[in-house]
Amino acid sequence: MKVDVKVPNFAEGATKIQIRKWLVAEGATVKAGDSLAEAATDKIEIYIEAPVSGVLVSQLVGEEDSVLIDQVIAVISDEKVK
Amino acid sequence: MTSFIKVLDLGLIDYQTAYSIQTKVFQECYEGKSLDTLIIQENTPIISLGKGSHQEHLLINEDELKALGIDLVYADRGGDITYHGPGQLVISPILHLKRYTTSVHQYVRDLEEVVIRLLNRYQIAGYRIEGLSGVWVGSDKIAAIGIAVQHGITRHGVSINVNPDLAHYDYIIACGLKDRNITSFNKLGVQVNELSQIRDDFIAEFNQVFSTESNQTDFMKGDI
Repeated sequence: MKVDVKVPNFAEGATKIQIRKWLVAEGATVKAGDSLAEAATDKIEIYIEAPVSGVLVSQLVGEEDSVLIDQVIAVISDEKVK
Repeated sequence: MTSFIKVLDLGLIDYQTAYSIQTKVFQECYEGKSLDTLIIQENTPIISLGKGSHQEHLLINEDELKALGIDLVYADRGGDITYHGPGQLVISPILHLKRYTTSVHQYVRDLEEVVIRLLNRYQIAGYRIEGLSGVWVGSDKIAAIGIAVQHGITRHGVSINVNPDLAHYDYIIACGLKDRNITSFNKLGVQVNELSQIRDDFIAEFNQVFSTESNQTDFMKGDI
């Protein structure tokens, strides 16, 4: 099953959220809770985490892209890795 | 509902050791082994570049800084360049954000509120400037904020200038703001003999704003 990775709603109120850096490459295996990307808004650094364990199959935004609350920025496939 | 928190005072400590302690406390909070914690410290002189820093806001090179006895660090917090040193109180709340507030931006506003109330105790009129984080007196900044949120838990925090050597700010464009100056309790004519007085007043106001309760302050001098 594929699971969306979203910008967390605790970043609400931010006028601009920017993806600063991907910490995990496409194709990499991740554990639930791993930090996938660093995002920034003014004085606040936010780490966006994997909601489930699996494989990061796609990054949907690039570094320096601006994103919104709840925007899907990546997809994880939680099927067992062979 | 009131939440119990711990207060950990590191005293005068170098940034890197304090950062190691902050990382350890953060991990313990994440694993549920520790209460949410206010880490309080006074750093030896250091210039800190946040994730949003612009190198041109550092006005001298690293060797010159070293000769002046000032270290340089690239910190994993938001915000631009800033200075920490003796006479400045740095408070890093390690908090499960959603237990206390709705969003990271409200959290920053709440931290500013704590500082404004603290300043009021000393008849200093602090205020916010829309679009700029921190707390201001007149046109000058007295408290800077830079935070990070990981696993829904906050790190880094707020620095308050009590009586630091403000000449050290001449080596940077603090927070990247060219047209703003830095101030302190001392510069405003408010003499504070002990930083612990500001610490205790900050904790009292923090408990009010965040509906927390802290029974005692633990002291640690770099022993991790």
